[in-house]
Amino acid sequence: MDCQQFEELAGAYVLGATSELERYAAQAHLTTCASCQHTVRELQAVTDLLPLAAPAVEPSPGLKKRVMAAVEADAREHAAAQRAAQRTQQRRWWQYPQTRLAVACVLILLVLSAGLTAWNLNLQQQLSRVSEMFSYKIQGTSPDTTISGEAMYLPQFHVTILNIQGLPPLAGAEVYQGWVIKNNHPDSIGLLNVQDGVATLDFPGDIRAYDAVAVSREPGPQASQGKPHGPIVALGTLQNKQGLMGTGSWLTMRIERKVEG
Amino acid sequence: MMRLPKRELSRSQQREPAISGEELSDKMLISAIANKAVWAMDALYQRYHRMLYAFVYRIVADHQVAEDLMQEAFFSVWQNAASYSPLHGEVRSWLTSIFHHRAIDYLRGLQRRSAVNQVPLEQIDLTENTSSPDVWNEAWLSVQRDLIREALMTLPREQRMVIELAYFQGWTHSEIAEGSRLPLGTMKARMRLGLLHLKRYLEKKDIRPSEQ
Repeated sequence: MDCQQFEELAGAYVLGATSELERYAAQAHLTTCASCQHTVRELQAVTDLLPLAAPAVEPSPGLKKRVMAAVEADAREHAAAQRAAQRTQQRRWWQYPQTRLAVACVLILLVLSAGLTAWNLNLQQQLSRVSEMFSYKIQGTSPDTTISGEAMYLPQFHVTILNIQGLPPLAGAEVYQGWVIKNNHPDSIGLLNVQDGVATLDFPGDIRAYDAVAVSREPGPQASQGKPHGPIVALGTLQNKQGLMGTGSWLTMRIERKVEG
Repeated sequence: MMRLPKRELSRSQQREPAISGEELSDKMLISAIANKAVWAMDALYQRYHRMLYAFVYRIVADHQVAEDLMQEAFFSVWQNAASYSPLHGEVRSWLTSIFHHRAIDYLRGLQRRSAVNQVPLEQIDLTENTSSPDVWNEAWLSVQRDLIREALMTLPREQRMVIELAYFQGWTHSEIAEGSRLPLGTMKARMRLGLLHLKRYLEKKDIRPSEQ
């Protein structure tokens, strides 16, 4: 199709009155011709006004209900699918460290047995490193708390494991998120996996370098960025440092808000 | 259909923006709908349902069919809002394009066009294809609507009829040419000249069609 042929067809093209074949040919020509693109824009702008010429007619009041019912049903399906995908993602995330935890325990047992049976100095040294485990108590922040747990650092595997019981059930998309705190600056260590009332989280790293470990209740479904947006529900001091709970720190404010609530 | 509790929708789907949907631009609403915000769909419906219903009804001339097509088309907007791009023009044009295609596809599905051979072109007029005898006497929704109709009525009758048959009745230029026993080139020219005439008339009235 050349420009003259398109010019003749332009009116029918914007009115949707061409055959399929003509439409394809016209579209192919338009991809290469700026002048004809301009013609189409001019005529299309006029055609776009034609719907306004229709006489005013009101639909029945029930139409909106039907439209919105279909929309809301689809929105619910969409939301449910998102939640399911999120749960799947969380399970996969949980399964991976759980496997690592199990492997770590098996390795510890193997090394311990080997050390005991072989009575080898080298193995004894390794045994001493394996048995070296740093454990810190974690407690709920409210006065009537039932939350308790511990943070364990296993130097040989350079991994820290959080294990907490008694966390209240979450609502909606809420999540429990773990934090380590140094000089009043929080760093996220990820979302806790809650199963049968027990929340676990492991992360590669040595918590001894930090002042405290905390668990907050976040709006979710994603982990909060930067600092906790919800209340701190559990806290464990990793070093007996002073000033961590100083007035005005974000941590103090969060805990006070939680206690007042 | 039974309505489930609203709390089952996610927060973003329930939460309305700080300003009301009426204050948001069309593009903002479409963007929110693409993110499955039900409130935005509600606002878009409120904004356009009258104009779109009048348009669809103008084409199919049947209230039940028009409502079914509206429901399908609005749901299509809900599902395909992410495909809208400002590069394709104004949201209103995008919407009318969706609803136009639905309505015309319906007409073509009915094979109503076969009747063109039995209807002399001279007997087809705009007023004969509307839903009731007095529709042209009804109050128009806006000055713009008045002017567009006025512009249509200033067209030479043969140009007005080919635009009516093509745009509102879904006939192709070759079908109209065949039905009227006139050369195809004549039909194409009438469509193009009719639209150019409309453009000039509306520009004189200070209505400048927004080009995409």
